[in-house]
Order: sequence, then structure tokens, then C-alpha cells
Amino acid sequence: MSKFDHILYGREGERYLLLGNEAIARGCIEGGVDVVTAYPGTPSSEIADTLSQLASKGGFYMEYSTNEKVAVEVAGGAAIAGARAVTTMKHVGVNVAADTLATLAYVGIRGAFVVVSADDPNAWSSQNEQDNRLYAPLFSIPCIEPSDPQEAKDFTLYAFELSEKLELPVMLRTTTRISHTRGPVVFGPIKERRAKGFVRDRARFVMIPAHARTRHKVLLQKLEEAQQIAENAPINKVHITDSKVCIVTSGVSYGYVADAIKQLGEDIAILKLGFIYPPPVQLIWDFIKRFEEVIVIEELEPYLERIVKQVIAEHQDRIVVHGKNLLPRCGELSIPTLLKNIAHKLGKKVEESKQLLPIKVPKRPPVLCPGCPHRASALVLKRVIGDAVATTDIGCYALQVLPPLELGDVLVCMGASIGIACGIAVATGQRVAAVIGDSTYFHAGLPGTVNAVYNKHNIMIVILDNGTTAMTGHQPHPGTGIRGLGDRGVRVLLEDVVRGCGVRNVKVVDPYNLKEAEKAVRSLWERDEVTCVIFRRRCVLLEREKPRTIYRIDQEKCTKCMSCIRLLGCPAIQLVDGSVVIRRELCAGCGVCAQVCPSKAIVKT
Amino acid sequence: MSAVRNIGLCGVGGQGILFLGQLLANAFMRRGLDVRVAEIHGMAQRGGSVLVELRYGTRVHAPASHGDYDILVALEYIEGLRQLHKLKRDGVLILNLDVIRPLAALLGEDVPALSQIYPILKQRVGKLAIGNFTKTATRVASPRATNVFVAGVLLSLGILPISVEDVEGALRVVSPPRFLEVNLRALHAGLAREEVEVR
Repeated sequence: MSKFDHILYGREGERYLLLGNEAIARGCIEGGVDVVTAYPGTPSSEIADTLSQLASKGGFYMEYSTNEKVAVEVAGGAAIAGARAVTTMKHVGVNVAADTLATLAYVGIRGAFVVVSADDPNAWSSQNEQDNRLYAPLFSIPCIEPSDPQEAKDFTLYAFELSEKLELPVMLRTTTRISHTRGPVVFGPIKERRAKGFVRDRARFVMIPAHARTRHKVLLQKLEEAQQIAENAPINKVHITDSKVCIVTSGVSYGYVADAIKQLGEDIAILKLGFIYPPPVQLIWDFIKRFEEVIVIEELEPYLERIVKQVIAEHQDRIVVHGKNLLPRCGELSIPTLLKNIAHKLGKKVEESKQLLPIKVPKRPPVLCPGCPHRASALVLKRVIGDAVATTDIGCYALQVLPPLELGDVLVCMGASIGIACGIAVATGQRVAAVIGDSTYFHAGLPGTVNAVYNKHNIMIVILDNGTTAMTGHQPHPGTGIRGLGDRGVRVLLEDVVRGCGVRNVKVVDPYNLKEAEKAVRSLWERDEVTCVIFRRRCVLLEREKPRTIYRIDQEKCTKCMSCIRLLGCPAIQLVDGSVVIRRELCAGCGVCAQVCPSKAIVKT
Repeated sequence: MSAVRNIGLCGVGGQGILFLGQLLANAFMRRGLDVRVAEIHGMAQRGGSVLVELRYGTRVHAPASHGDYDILVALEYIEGLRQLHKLKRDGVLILNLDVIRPLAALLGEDVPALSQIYPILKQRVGKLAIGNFTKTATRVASPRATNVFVAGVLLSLGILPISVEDVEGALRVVSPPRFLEVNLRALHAGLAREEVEVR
């Protein structure tokens, strides 16, 4: 028996004295949580600590991740694969996880994902007093706020349900006095676990620009849905009296308000919001419109105050403010967009420009360059991992996702490939490959690697080392040893770094040598520990000036089977008058096509 | 001149479309005109559809026109067709007939033939300059100078408020010195409209 057992085994209807954070832990258990990740930080720590004590007995997974970003990736990855997951952190931890959270909102999740942000007004144990309610509109994720230990438990459960319904991460925001206050908590029933499994959907989970633009619109639709839910959410409470002044508040502030007005001997109308983003603006208006004055009571930023002022402004008709009611919230502005949307307000009419309909032509998405080593490494990886899940990352190699290579199932942000691979591996019990470029690896891959090793995740890390930061214009990075000044710094070798993080099996291969590379990658894939393959071959654009042997197609041997085109999609291979040919000016001489041609028709010139 | 004019420059990533935009913009600047070139960098660039928008006038504010072109310059045939609907009625179209097939087209998707779209061109386009510019540029200079050849063709139409000297001067600014001579040759071949049909 541990001192936390009642939190796991306590039955419906029983009442215990719990710390707010323990109540959140119970809420996770009642919500049927599968995966818990955290980086400790006051005032959030006891949520994870409690769940850590109960994980084995409760049959769910728990880890302390190397930082909040990795924690969100592991839990978010698991939730993408259908698990119910929670990540807990203190307010400043959200700064570390922000990159992942901002895009995780775009892809959303399939199970449920609750992010607990424990803020620290008065900076009792923190370097600042930042108000994380402001993150909710930035990330476009719903945010709810409990005001006592009972609500901490109940709202956690509500957050899981909301997340599952909307398929969005939901932020549960607490403050020190909620997390670190004890009070009675009545338990509820524990939910059944969800079925888990990764379902491939690249348009949803791989955020290359074309997909991101679509998903932004989806996210805004989901926010509208969340808005409707917020209007009728049972976690908002209205207390109506015939007072002239009313109070709007939320979270811990409600407790202070309730007792203070009791001291005054007054019965004042109070709107207590539990659902604080998107704000239930209709509910707010219906409440405040009957009063002469509104007092908004909250700690830190005037978050609710701005919302209330905005609601009032929208219902007064002397000066009408237009903005996003006229203009799009996605994409860019343009002169036609402006004219179309605002001209009528200026008393003008814009003629619809009589443009042609677009002519239907084949799409031309961006492609990997001729001779790009990422084409060869994708081919090798596909041969080895088959249909297994591969996460990918930010860089040119994101283009491996497109036909014909089609490698990469989830792409969220810099370095997230590794953490998300871990989460999917946990949720599905399958080995996952995490694909990441050299510069991206140095940027944010190290904490994920250390995490994978430490927590024994079943993944293979694949580093595509082309010796540069190619996508952004060939800047140097630690692996190149060249500094911003143009002189030599100290070259940091990727294999040393990966081994230093505790990965024992690391192999460096040349992607241009398909056979050898495949053999090495297979030996690393067929293990159940963290292994790492480094595909090392310089970016072909850096090799342009070097002499090269280009290839041609022997038309007598070519059977026009199209294997080279179907497998590689190299822009140098074209069809001219029905014959497959290699365009001399484009061929980089990598020789990969010669290795895949079943008729040995591709030869050196 | 008060109205801002819009030029669309399109093609396949790697064809030197950004370079063409800079070349023309520099030439406009030499005439004392204000100019904006909206470029696309990064992922969108790699071998995919590239569209650069150039705007010039006495004073230009907005960075991009998002269509509404007075002139559309296509360094590649499919890309020209893709952007054609953004050309104003009776606008000027410069269309390279060289086709670079994307994967979808290699695997069977149709590329409309010139004869199929000719009725549309005839009805919509005020002035049309076509030819296999890549082929000609390769013969007289280099395939990579197709962009500068096309600048010459555009200039030859006499619709821009810039002179040959302006473009030559701009070329000296933007061209890497070792390609300057090749580029100048391409420019003059374009000006002479070698193997270019204008209707």
C-alpha cells in the first residue's frame, strides 16, 4: 500500500481530503488515462508524482520526460495513436513546449490530450508570474479553469471528454492555490480504456505547408464548435441576484470573491467561468446586460476583463468595430480580398473581376532535387520498415512524404519526430522510425534522444546527414564545424553525440549505396531498443560544381516498365516521345536509378 | 504614369524565376520607378510551381497583387497554363512551349495541348509571344539563360517603360560575372525574337 492508493482504488461516492494536484491525478484516472508524461515544476509536480506511484498498479504508462517539449510530444504522439494522454508542467514549461503545442493543435489528436499548466501567481517558486491563459488563444486550444480541489478533479475529467469530442488538445489551467490547496473531493466512476492504434492520414498529421493551410481552417471550425460547447458548459456557473453590480470571475479568484462578499453581507450576482477559452460570449452578455456595472476579478493579466469589455463593445451600436467579421482569419491579405470584403462598408461596389476559370493541369508539388540523398534514404527505409509508422521532421526531407516515396506519417515541429515516435510506440506497442535531419537534430533532437534511451522506447532514430541546413539556404551547423564568421569552429560529430546520449547501436551509411545501406538499416531495425542510423551524404546542391559522371538510359534494354519513375520520382528522368530518358543537364550522377532498374538499362555515360 | 502594373513570372523551381524578377526590378529602378517583387523562398521552391509577382509604378505599396496581371511570363508551359486565369483580359502572355512534366504527368495525367487551349488564348490574350525558348536559349547561349532570353522577348514587345540599356545595366548588377557574357547573348537573342512567334 502506498499513501496514494486511495486515489487509484477509491470508489465512486467516496470522499477524501486531496491536494488539488492529487485531485487532478484522480481526474486523470477517472478519465481512463493511458499515458502520463511530465517534466516536474512547482506547482505542478504532485500530479505526475502521484500518477508515477500508481501507474504500474493502474495499468497506464508514465514517464518523466527530458523536458516539457518532449513530454508533450510523447503524450501527443500517443494521443494521435488513439490513447488518452496528459502532460503536466508549470507555467514556464509551456514556453518550452510551445513549438510543439502550436502545431499539435493543427493536427489534433484521435484519443484525448490534456495539458495541465500550473501557473504561479506571486512567483512562490518561479522566475516569473506569466499568465498562461493567454496561450489558449495563441494556440487556438480550449482552456478550462477549476476553482477548488473538487473542481480540479471534475474539470480534469471534463477536459478529457472535451478533448476527445473535439479531437484537440485541451489546456487545464491551475494556479498555485488550486494545485497546492487540500479540500474534500468526492470520487466518481472510472472510465473504460479506449481502443488504440495508429491510422495513417498524412493530410492530417503531416504539416507540410499545403496541409497546414487546410488544417488551420479545420482548427477554426473546431474552435467554433468549442465556442458552442462553452456557451452551455456545465462548468460555468451563474448566480443571479437583484444587485446593481455584478462580478465576473474564474478559477481561484472565485474563492476569494465568494468569501469576501459574504463578509460584506451582500448577495451579489456572480458569473463564474470554468470554460475560459473560447469564452462563452453570449452567456457573458446575457448575464452582464442586466447590471449597471461589472467588476471583473482575476489574478495577473486582465484576460477576462478584455473579453467582457469586448462583449460590451459588440453590443453597443454607437461605434461599430469591424475586423475579423469581414476579413479572413486564415492565409494572407490581398488587394482583391480587401476590396471584396470592405468596399461595401465604404459605400462602394466592387465589380467581380471576370477572370477565367483555371485550366486543369497536373499538379507540381515541390520535389527533392535530382541526386538528393534523401530520395535514396527514403527508398532504403521503405524497403526495411515496410508499412511501419515513421515520424518525420522539419527540412527538405519532409518532401519524402509526397509520392512516390511516401515516407513519413506525422510531422509537427522541429525535433518532434523523436518524441512523437516514442508516444506512438507506447500507444501501439509497435516499433517506430523517427526521421530527422542533421541540423534539426542539433536544434531539438537531443532531449528526445536522451528521453528515448532513458525511458527504453522502441524506436529507431534515422538522421539524414547532408552536411548542411539545406532547406533554409545551406547554413552551417555544429556538424559542419564551420562558424557564422566563415572560419572553423569545432566539428561536433553526430555519431559521437548520439552515442553520448546513450544509444549503443549507431551506424553511419551512404544512402547512394542502396544494398549496403539496406543491410545496415535492417540490422538496426530488427532490435527492440533505441538504435540510430545516420545516412551521410552531402546535399547535392553543394556538389554541383564538382565533376560528375552522369547516367543515360540504354533504349535497347529499357522495357519502359517505369520502375525508375515510379520508385524515385527523380526530376531528371523524363518521358520524351514515349521513351524514358535522363535529362543530361539535370542528372547529378548519384547512380541510384541504375541500382533500381530491373533491366540494368541505366548506365554511365 | 500613376497606375501600378502587375507582372506574373512563373515556372518551375530552379529555372531562375527569382533572378528574372530581380533583373526586371533593377531595370525599373534605373528608370526611377518604384517596384516590389514578391518572392517565394524555402520549401515552396524546390522543383515545384514557382510564382513571382512584380509590381511597378510611380509609387507601389502592396507587396503582391495576387493575380490581376497585365503581363504573364511563363518559363514553362504547364506553369503558364496554371497561372493563365490570373491574366487580365487582353493582357500580354509570354509562353515558353518547353514542357517539364511533373510526376503526375509522367504517370499518365494529361497536359492540355496548345491546340486545345488556343481558343482561350485567342479570346483572352491581347498579345501572345510563344516559342520553345529553352531550345533557342540552349542554342544561342545556355539552357540556364532561358530566363534572360525571355526578358529580351518581353522587352522587344515595347510595352515596358524601360530600355535595352536599363536591362543591360541591371544585368551587370544581378548576373554573376562569369555568366554575364552568356546572359548578354541570351538577352539580345530574345530582343531579336529568334524563333519567337508574336501574335
